Amino acid sequence: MSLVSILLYSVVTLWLVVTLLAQNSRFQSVINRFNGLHIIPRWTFFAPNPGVRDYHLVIRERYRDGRLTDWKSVAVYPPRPKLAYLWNPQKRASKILTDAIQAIKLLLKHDDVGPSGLPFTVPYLLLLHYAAHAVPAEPDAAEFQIAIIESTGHLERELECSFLSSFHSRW
Amino acid sequence: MVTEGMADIALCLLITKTLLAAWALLSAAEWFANLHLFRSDGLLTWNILRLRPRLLIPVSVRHHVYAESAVIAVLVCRIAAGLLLLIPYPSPADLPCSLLILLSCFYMSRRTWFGGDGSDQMGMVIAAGVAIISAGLALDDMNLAASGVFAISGQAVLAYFVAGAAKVVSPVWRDGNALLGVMKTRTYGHSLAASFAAERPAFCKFVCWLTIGTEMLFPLVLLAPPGVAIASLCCFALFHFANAYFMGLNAFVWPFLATYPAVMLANSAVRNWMGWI
Repeated sequence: MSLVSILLYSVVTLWLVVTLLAQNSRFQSVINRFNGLHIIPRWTFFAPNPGVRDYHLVIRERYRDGRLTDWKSVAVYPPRPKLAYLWNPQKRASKILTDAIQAIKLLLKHDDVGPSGLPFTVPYLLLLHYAAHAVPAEPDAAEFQIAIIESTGHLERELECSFLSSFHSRW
Repeated sequence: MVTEGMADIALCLLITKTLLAAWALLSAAEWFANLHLFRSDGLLTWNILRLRPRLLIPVSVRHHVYAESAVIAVLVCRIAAGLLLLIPYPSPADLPCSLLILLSCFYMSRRTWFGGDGSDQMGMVIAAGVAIISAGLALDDMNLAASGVFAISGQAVLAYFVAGAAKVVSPVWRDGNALLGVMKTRTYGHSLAASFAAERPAFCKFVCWLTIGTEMLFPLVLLAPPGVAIASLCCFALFHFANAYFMGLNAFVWPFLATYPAVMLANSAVRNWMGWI
């Protein structure tokens, strides 16, 4: 066996062992520090807690005199196409929204961040920035606020507000 | 014996690289349909994502490296590499093309941060494996090529086993509610499947346990007689087609099917080592 083969077998074995360890939450924080390129995959698809909710982003504005607008839906992704088993680009935007919301939920529980530190985090700013640009500002609106709505069901939908942001300046 | 082994690995490479090419072309085309996400008002705007910690690229060039034009260039490279991999025999282009796809995987995962899924992870694994196998064939080094087969089959076994093990510790999977819960979403669900499942809790429990059981037993494919192993892999392929149809997980099909030739070679190696052949 050549030196290159021995080296590659060792690297591949190490890769598989670290991948196995990375599936356990105890090792994830350590491994994530060295996993900037996502070389170590996570294979826990839809488990242990599968996504059983759809996420929606909504926005409302506050005028200078304190009146509030109605909540407006922020369009993030269109419905799944009929041929999604062949072509489904919409899943990217939906996954980005889901990932950002999951990150916000984790950060809210994090002692170092919590509700006071959340407005300075990237997932929060990402949703805030997107919503502010996706929905044109009402004339004379001074501030805006976003909320995350969770839903389940296809025809009869159950809705629940799971997060409400602070008000932020429109300009 | 060695020549026979190299021929098997060459056939494995041919099937694997074709399926890798299918995934690379599909994923790049779907990202092209999502280019608006990378614009200044998009969900993946660099104006915000540049604020995250531990960026590897120096500040002075970061803006250029992660600009929308750079994303387009990377995706064009992935498409070109995917097209070249479709050449229907092991070719000298296989190594650079698979490395290019691997680098594009690294780039997209760094640039997007959010929105990646299991198909991207397995695509990366396959690209790495194809690169190693191609290098082994180019250098006429069977052990080197076999380490690529080991990488792909090892990650495939881990992927299925871990997916099953993570489900078996979950109460919602064990009681069958996971299936109905997922089917009731618009993101990954299916309205007809949801209404069918809603009235049949026993069926939901059966499907959940079938998924858990088969995923956890996947490593046994390495020990099974070749006919049984092929039949099992056909069932897993059907599972991925069903996921694509009911859940819209279309991009998972190609990279996961791409692991199967390597799994069959690993099956042959393990059975040979056990003295069963």
